[in-house]
Amino acid sequence: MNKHTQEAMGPPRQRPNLRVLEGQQRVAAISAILKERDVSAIVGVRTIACDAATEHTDGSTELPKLRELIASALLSRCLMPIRLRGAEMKAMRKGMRMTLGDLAERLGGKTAPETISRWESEAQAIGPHAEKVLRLVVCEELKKDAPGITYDASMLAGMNDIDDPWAIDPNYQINPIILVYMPMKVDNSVIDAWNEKKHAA
Amino acid sequence: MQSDQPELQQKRPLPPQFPRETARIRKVASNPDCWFRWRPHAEQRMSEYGHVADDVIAALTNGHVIRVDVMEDIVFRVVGKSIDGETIEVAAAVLNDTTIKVVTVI
Repeated sequence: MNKHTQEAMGPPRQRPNLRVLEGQQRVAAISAILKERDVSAIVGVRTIACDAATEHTDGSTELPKLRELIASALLSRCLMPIRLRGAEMKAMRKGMRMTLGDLAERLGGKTAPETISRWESEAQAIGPHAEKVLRLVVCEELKKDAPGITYDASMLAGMNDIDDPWAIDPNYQINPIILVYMPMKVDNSVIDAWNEKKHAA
Repeated sequence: MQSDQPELQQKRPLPPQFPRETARIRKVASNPDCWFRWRPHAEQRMSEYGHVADDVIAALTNGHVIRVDVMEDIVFRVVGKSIDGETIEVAAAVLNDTTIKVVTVI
């Protein structure tokens, strides 16, 4: 093991949070908090995180409460009355950290893992009842990690008209879910949580 | 019986090359309070390959370090399994006990 590797294994290196540029001017190594940041690749559904992502000088971005961000985005998508795409269903399953077999079991054991795989690859369309059950499973599983999102099972039960914009326009782009990281009052205490910002009508 | 022995030897997995680095990155990645920094290249590759953050975190939690590169940071090349059991190779740097920078997904 070389010297550098040993260094990596030891206590965290204390780097000054400052760097010196040509004119000996000191600037902070941490960039500003981004007003908006597209986190779709991280989450798996179209999502923009507002006022939270820290961009560092090396171009990397850091997001607070990643687990809650993912859960909030997936829960918000489940509550949108727009048909779920295959990739979104896959992101939801992974967000719950479930394999195809685990999800098949959670759906009551009557659905085969192969069927879920076909839904995810869009080789087979998911039925309206199965989609509602899937949304319910996702919401119930993720609600504990998404304290900022208002959810009640009755919201899904009342969701009868699910829109399918891709039937008309296959290139339709769904509006991104906009999540804001803000202090919120949850169960009589104030916590920082991801809250959905509603689109203007 | 004797003819089987070389075949068995071939199938025996190689001992892990970087056990301390593997233990370190697994410990930090499995910490629920760990912060992840994402390089744009990692996000681009995740989007291309259909991986999400949980796949990368799973790979870092169950994977093995196969290479250590000394660059701007000390970057570990980790080979692990995604949630679906697919093999993913991730380049990541452990910045401190609670921060991992995901450099890219290969």
